[in-house]
Amino acid sequence: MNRTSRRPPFTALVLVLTAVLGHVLLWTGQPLGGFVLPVAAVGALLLRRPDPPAAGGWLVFGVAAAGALAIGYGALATPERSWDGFATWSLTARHLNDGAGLDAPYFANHSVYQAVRGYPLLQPILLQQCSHWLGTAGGRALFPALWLLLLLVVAGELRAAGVAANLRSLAVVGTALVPLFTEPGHGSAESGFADLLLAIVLTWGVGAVVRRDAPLAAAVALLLPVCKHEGGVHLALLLAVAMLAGRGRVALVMAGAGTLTLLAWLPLQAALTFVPAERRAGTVAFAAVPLVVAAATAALRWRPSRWPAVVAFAVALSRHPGGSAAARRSCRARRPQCSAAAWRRRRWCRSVLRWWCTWSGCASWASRSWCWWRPRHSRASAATNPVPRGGRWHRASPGSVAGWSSWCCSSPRCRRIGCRSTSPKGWCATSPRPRVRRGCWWGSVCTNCGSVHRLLRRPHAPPRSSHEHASQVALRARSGRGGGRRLVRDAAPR
Amino acid sequence: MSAPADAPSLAAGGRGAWRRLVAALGLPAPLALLVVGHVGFGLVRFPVGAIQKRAESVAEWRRLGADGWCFRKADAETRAVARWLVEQVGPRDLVRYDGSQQGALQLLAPLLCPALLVHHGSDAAWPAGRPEFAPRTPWGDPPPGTVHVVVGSLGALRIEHRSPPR
Repeated sequence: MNRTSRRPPFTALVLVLTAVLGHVLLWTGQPLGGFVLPVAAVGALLLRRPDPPAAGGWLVFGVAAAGALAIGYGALATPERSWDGFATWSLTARHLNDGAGLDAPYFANHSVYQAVRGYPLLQPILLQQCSHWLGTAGGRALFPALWLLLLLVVAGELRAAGVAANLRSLAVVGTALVPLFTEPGHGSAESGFADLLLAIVLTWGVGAVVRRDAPLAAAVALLLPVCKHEGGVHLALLLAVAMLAGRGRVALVMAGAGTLTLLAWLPLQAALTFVPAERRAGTVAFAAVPLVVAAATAALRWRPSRWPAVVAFAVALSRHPGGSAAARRSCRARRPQCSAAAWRRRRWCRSVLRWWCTWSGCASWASRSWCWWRPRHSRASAATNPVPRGGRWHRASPGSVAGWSSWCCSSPRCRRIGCRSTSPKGWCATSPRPRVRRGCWWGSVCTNCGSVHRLLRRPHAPPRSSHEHASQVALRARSGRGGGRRLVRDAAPR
Repeated sequence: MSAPADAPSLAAGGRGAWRRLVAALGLPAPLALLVVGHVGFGLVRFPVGAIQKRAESVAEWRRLGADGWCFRKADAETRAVARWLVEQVGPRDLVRYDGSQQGALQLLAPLLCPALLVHHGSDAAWPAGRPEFAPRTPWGDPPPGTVHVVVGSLGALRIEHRSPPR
């Protein structure tokens, strides 16, 4: 493998260089010109040539062309028709395109209205670059281009992982037909939300973890925090998965690059959100989250330290002071109010608990049934089954992603078949997971039976008339409780 | 009525085709069923979801205009206020606002861009070099010594006349 092929894909390099160059310009108070994206493209071209598309066939081409045409029409015909894209992401891009730097009143003046401050800036920078060259309407061609890029990234990552061509094409068609992106609405490709960009970067991230691709992992860690707010959470999750799956080098690279990105981005975000100077250090301390997650998952992976690490985590969380002294005092003062609010919402809490029990019970049932569904006697299926018998993968790589998923999905029958005889001693016999699942299942059964029982025992009360309801509201208004205050305030002369 | 003579063979052929498909994909049967179901559902849904719904929303946007689309679920006065502001506010104006930051003001700000909304009671210095928007409303002259303030709530916009705080 030569050095060029070890580098991240061309489009990932373009995004990384655009993000770095754009943020540096904004940091230094310069308005973005139109040269950021071209310079990034040339720089990426010097580092790596673009790859040819990794999926083909008339079905793939037809679905991709139809989707791109539909999204392109929706993007170019009107501005964003979803509020978040219209009111935040693309509005920032329009101000950047008008020559505003981060010292412009829209960003720097506290009295100027901005719906949500501190949104990440990568997508606005990309949109501003496209708008600079193609006009405000033409710049929205970025959205169908990103959608096509998502398909290319899925195909490229599957090819790099060695997936067969027909399955790759089917996966690309399936990605192209995901209604969230294809249909108009919140989060769709043309809505102006950053979900599409996040999906692209996450696809690269999964590919980097699966293929142990450290350079691509670094690029993903550089991009995720500046894609969207939740990018940092996704980064922490990817990192934890990489560490638990035995991709220690990838996880460390990801942690380092993510920490660097957060160290650069969090002060900028604090400035954009007008965080007071005395609290900036606390905000920037979140840059250490990737390193902490890496260390924690490494401790979890190392079996002798697993249970001490869990206990240490639990103790640390329970003893965590929770911010500044003022915040702690405020929290302590609000504790009775929180308890009262929780007590007022006890019915809601109970229903949430019931639903959680029901669905976890369903998941338990599905996981128990999995070993009955999958074809067990076929040699071909045994070779291609993504979740084979637990014992084999436990024995092959304890602690890997496959081992964990297999352990979670294995039923007692599965373990009788394969796991008990081949897994490390005591792995299944002492695992608490089946007991937890069984507890969830029986909890669900009991709570649902209880609710059915209450439903049957409920006396048939006559329906309340609107007159009765109005009289009760008036009574509350006179007694000064609940909605009554609002009625009195409305009645007062303005 | 008796079954056709070739019914068992047809069923066997269907199962055989499914098995061949599963083998060709190299996936477990439930996963293959989910993937093929998703693709089939997406193909069936595409003409309605991706084409018809999109064409309808674009046509409605063009019919209502940007402000009409954004406030299509608001009351008539809010739509009138938004339309009037979009027509009257200049590109470098500062428009006073007050009220809930969430809701109607979120949609008004991009409609007035590059004009800026500034908080009526803010202590911070306002952006320099920009004129303040102060026309007459179509609903009557403002009382002397008052300024126009756009008051936003979760779903409505109003214009109020208030005395300037400074």
